[in-house]
Amino acid sequence: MYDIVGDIHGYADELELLLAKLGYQKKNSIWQHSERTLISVGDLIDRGPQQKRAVDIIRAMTANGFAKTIMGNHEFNAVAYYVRDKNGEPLRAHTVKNRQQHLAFLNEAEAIPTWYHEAISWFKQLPVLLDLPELRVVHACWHPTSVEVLKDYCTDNFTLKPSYFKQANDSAHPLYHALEVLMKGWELSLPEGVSFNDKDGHKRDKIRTRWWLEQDGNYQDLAIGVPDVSILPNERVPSSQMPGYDNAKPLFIGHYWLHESAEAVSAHIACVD
Amino acid sequence: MAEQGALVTYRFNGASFENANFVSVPTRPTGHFSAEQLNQAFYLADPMQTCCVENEITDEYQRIAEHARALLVERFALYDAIEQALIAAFDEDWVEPKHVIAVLEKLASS
Ligand SMILES: [Mn+2]
Repeated sequence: MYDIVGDIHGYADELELLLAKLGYQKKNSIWQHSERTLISVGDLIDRGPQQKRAVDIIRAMTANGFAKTIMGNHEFNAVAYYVRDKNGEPLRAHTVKNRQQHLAFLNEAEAIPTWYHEAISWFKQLPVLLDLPELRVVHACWHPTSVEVLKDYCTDNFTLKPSYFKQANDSAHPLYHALEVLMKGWELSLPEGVSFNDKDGHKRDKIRTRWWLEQDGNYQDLAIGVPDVSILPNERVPSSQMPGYDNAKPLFIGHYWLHESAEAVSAHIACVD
Repeated sequence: MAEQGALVTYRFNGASFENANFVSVPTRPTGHFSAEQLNQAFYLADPMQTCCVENEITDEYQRIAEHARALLVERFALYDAIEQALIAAFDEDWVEPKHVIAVLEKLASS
């Protein structure tokens, strides 16, 4: 059976402590378990102090069949930051903000160019989701319509075909929007004329949502990252505006830094971040 | 994850979700684990089977723990720091991953 691990974000010591706690052993330099398979929900990189080590541990486990790993928005962005289009322009602009978000990784990767190249090659072929007989895994949101869009641009195992990375980063392309939902979550437009200022003072007319809530929520219940939810309408959000979940299988997601302690967020969805 | 202060796993066994199946390890600042915490973990794990626990020799691994702590300060990964400290004190051929992992396991549950 499976152990599903949340966003590791370059914390390799904690990953190894966790593997030890879960009863994994290390043979031929590869962490492994005789009866269990680790599943990573993605976001191995950025932020933490041990970027290369975190990637190397999970990559070796995955290559040898002891882990399955999907792509998080941070791996997706890392690929886009590295890959250039035919004009030599990076798919993700090298702005100060984008570099800053990626700096912990870049500091280690740029010092070892061959490793950097290999890591990006590996990120590129990570599936965007897993739909196993027992369970599903996606980084942020399971949305059947977006999964259908994705199918046109990926292989049978939900790996993006390399030639579509440019479209995947083009906000005018449906693939971009499908990946936004699957890897960054469901956003909900606020009713006409309603907006709020986020923690950086930017005016927003959309909210990130607890899309997994089963009962019909109102804007205040659903909102994530709104400093003062009382400014949002206390009215029910039509279920047609939310993705819902069919509850056909347990679903595991990461990505959200919920302040509650780790727990199932609904009867069929668990957030391991 | 980092902001929340823990790395979380769910141990999935096919049944419906149970809170007891969430296993987590707190994330720590760089240079975490004091020599004292390391010593306690080495002592409890007794990776080299010195019988220190039975005999209550709580400082059996004190020097090794201090060495591991010094390696952490030098930015060694936790696993490597424990392994190198054991190798320096015992014979390289005697130190196996399971010995390091036994110490990690004690640290993870401390
Ligand atoms: Mn994420």
